[in-house]
Amino acid sequence: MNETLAEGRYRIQRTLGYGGMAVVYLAHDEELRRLVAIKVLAEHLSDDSVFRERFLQESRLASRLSHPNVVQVYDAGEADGRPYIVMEYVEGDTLAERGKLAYEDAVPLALQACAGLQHAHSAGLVHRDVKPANLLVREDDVLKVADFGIARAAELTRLTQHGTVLGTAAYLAPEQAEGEEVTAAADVYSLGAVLYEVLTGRRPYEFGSIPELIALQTSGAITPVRDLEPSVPEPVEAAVMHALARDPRFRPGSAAELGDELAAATELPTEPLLATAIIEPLRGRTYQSLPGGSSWLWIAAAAALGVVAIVLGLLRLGGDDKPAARPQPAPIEAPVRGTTPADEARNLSAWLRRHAG
Amino acid sequence: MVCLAGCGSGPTPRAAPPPKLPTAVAAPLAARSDEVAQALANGDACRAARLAQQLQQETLASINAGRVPAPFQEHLASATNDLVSRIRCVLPAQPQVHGKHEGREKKRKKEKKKHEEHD
Repeated sequence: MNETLAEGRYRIQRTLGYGGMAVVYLAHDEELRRLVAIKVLAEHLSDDSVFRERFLQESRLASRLSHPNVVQVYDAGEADGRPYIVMEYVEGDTLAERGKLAYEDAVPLALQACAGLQHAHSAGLVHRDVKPANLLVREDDVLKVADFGIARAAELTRLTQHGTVLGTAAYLAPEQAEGEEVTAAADVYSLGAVLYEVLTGRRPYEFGSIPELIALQTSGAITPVRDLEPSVPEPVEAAVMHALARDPRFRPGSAAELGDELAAATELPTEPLLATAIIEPLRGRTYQSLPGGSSWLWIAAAAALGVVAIVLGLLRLGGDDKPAARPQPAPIEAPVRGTTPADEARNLSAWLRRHAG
Repeated sequence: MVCLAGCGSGPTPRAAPPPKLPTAVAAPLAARSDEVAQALANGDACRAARLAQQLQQETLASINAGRVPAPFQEHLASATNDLVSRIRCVLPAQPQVHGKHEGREKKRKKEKKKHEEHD
């Protein structure tokens, strides 16, 4: 890999992460003078011309999406026979890294995921691989759905039969796990599964293989959210379990409908960015006790005027005895890749030992 | 404004401790990674490939059993997938023996055997 791509337009700065399918680099767009993330297809997949073409084709479809809750695809091309996608760089962490969250924190993020997915569905694109690792959360709690189109391209490879998907199969809709036709309803199920895990710390089903998962999805029962996390309000549990219905016909009719159910369950505004802008300062505080059904709009107006800090100060002085939000621990760094497979194995071993405890 | 917002009476919140991988999960996976590295150092790519696949299966089993905390799952699965994809087991090419040449080869071996018996 050269240090630049596209005839010097993108200057690679460092590796952000890697997976079985691709390596993601942080790069600087010398032309537009901004940071971008570049996903370069793994070498062993670049040899497959069908997959290569499909990868670029799906990336181009994804580049048509433009929404604040979707990672923007800027460009796609090939360098040294390896296809790459240039995307918006989202500084923050994945939902997987955030782990279990209180419902007050989880639902506003889910609302944003619903908004991003709805936008894609309206444009005729189904994500097919909604999982915590594909939901990027910026430091200001804006969530962006990443990797539209990648899963569809991957379906042509054996990756769908082996490790990569098995590791994240917990989020697959029953019809998807069984290889049936996938529609937007599959993304609704997957988001329900993600939300279930974020709220309870557990996946809907524990399984050891895809056939076992299918069997559980056919006849096994999902432990209700509140049995595992009683602090979750009943209407939130109902919305999550609705999304996890086995039959797509019994799920919310769209990602927007799931968003409406979640918003109604928590009395949050359905406009996700409005929620986003004020969630952080209010986290762990008494926003629910503010008077009136339009309290969120009232706070938003106050925020726009720059007086949120005063409001919070007054709330605190007024007897809010809930503890302040605990800062999140630093995100876990990925193991260093290594220049050779032997280095990579040693680095992985060192990484495992460093994080053991 | 800053003072009002920050005038709470409680102690300054400290960052939550970083999550940890249970030693019972991390130690055997680390040992397996070491075996992969050792096999590669010995030039035995095929053994390394087999061990890397075992590592991948063990990683997935641990993740699916809920034994790997969420912040580690993607990194761990990605790293093992990547390792498997990077190790190529190339077996030495077998001598190609076909058609007419096969007959010649058999004849040559028979003659050699005959000579050996003679000796």
